[in-house]
Amino acid sequence: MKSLLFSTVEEAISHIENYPNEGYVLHVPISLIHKMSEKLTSDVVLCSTSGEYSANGYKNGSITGFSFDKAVAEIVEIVTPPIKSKQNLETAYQKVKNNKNAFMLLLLDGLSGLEESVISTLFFIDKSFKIIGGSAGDDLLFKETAIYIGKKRVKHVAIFFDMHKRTQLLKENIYVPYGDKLLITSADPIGRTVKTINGEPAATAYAKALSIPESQLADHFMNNPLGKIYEDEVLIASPMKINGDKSITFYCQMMPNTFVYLLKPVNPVDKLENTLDTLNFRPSFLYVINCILRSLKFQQDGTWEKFDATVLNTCPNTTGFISYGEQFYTHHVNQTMVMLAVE
Amino acid sequence: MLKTMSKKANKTNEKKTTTETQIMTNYENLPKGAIVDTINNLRKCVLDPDVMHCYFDETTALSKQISIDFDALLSQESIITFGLSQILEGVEYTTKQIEEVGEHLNHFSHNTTQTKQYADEVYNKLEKSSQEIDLAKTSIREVVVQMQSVSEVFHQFFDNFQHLESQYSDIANFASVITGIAKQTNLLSLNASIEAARAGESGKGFSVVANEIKKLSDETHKNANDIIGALDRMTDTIRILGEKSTDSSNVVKDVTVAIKKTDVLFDNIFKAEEEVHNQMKYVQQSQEENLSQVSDITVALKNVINKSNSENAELDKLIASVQTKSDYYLRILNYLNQLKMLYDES
Repeated sequence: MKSLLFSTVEEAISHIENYPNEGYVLHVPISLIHKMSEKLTSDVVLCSTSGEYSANGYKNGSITGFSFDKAVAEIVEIVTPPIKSKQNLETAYQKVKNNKNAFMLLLLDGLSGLEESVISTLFFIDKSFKIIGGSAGDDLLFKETAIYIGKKRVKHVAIFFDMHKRTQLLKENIYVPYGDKLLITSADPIGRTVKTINGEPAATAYAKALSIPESQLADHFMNNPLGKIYEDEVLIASPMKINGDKSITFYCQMMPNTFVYLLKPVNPVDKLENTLDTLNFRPSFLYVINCILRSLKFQQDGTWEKFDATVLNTCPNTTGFISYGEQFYTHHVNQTMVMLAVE
Repeated sequence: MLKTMSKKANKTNEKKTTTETQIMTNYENLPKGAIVDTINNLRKCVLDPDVMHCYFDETTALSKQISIDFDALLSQESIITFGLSQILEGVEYTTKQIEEVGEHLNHFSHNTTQTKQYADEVYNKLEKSSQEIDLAKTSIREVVVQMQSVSEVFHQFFDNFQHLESQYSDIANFASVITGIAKQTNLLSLNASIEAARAGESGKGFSVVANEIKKLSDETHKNANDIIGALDRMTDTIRILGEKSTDSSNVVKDVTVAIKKTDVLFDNIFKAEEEVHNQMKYVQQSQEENLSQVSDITVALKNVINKSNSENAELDKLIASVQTKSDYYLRILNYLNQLKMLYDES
């Protein structure tokens, strides 16, 4: 797998035409993606973004991605509702399920709120099978994201890779829980909206827990998201907006009658070093998906440079994109970094 | 979509010559994933001509009901989860209270140890006091003995004074006798003077002698009176000394009585201190029992805290399991949502 970086659509298309025997996954700004798709074959998958990652680190407005041996990959379109694609997905899965280095890359629509729908449809996949994914972005316009298989625009796509080299999935969380648990007392999970927390309107309870006035709550979302409590880990749920009735809409589904923690950020570069330390091998290829909220925070704090240096020091052959959400095994999460390492 | 397909299936049914291949040809525009399911449904319709529909309505009804019951299940969950949340708060509160009791117990134990130390010190000081009292009593006894010696001395003084008084009396008697003799001598000299006068010239020498004898007896009389005077004064002095001696003797008696009373008081103090001593023993015993009880309570409390901590750990596990369980609910909700999307399409 080879990391790619192009400045223009023409450059990208030219490269693809020069190497037609490869398969490609490319991350393209929303402004360029429709034009680019017109000239592609079904061996090329395009995904719109809110920023890109490359062998030169964080980018915005470039085309990044990687090329791969067509023989090891199977591209499967996922429609809406995703159950209609279940059979195809299962067929592709059956071919690779016994390969413990195999993995599935998901690229999902970032604005239709269907990520959990897709993941729950993968009920036939073994829990230990590697699934890494990102939700497509649209440069913070929040109008529409786009995914293409060649010329054909699709809702979501899954690519099964039957790898011969060792692979490893990593997830990084730069937030830690603090304070008391909060109980989500009522919510609309499909609508990703939390109505009440601890019996009070969500915004009121959230602001109270942060000890800030309700009017300042939205400014704290980036640094103080919520964490879903599991036995061994905490998964991040990012608030998107406060609604008129003081309910809060999130970037993922929230169940009522569950406990969440307030989260606060830790030093991201230290955390990154810890994350990379867990690699079982020296990677020859890294695929990095960072959440838009992490990207915005890094831009605000000036962290990208150090981040880039640390990642690229581990592996220069790196690519990826900035997403509206991340998928890691059977979870859809926010404000997280998910990473695929290939030996 | 399935309704349309079932209508078509019925039509082809009438012909009774339809094969699966023909059905596939008819429906090649359907999304790939649905084909197998569709075929299975159609198979039922095709093979069993009495079946007029393909359970579409039944499936819809059941799915709708699953949705309704699921919502009811979620609201039941809220009761359980809320209860769990309350229990958790209660347990956290209890644990804090227990920890506070533990702290109080520590203080109490510390205080009890201090009190025992104080009681031991009091006990030791009482021991010393007893020894001091013993010494005091011994000293007093010595004083009493010495007082008795003093009393003896005064008694002897008194006896000696009495003796002296009687000797002075004797001397006074002698002086009186002398006075008597002097008086007699004076009369005699008078007589002698008279005779001398009678004798005329021959009696002049006798009259001189008689005068001299008169002078002597006058002097003797005077001396005897002086002696008597001196003796009277000495007798007064002796009397006064005697009275003083009596007074002193009485004082010594009073002091002896007072000292004996003091001895009794010391005995009382000693008895009182002995009682306090015994009480202190009880206090010490009681404190030792207290410490042993405190030690038992502390052990019991530590057991409660350990149990409480392990219960907290269990509750934490329970809470962690809440999210895992909810994920399954979430998946079912997503399945129901997809079903709804399918119905909406058809």
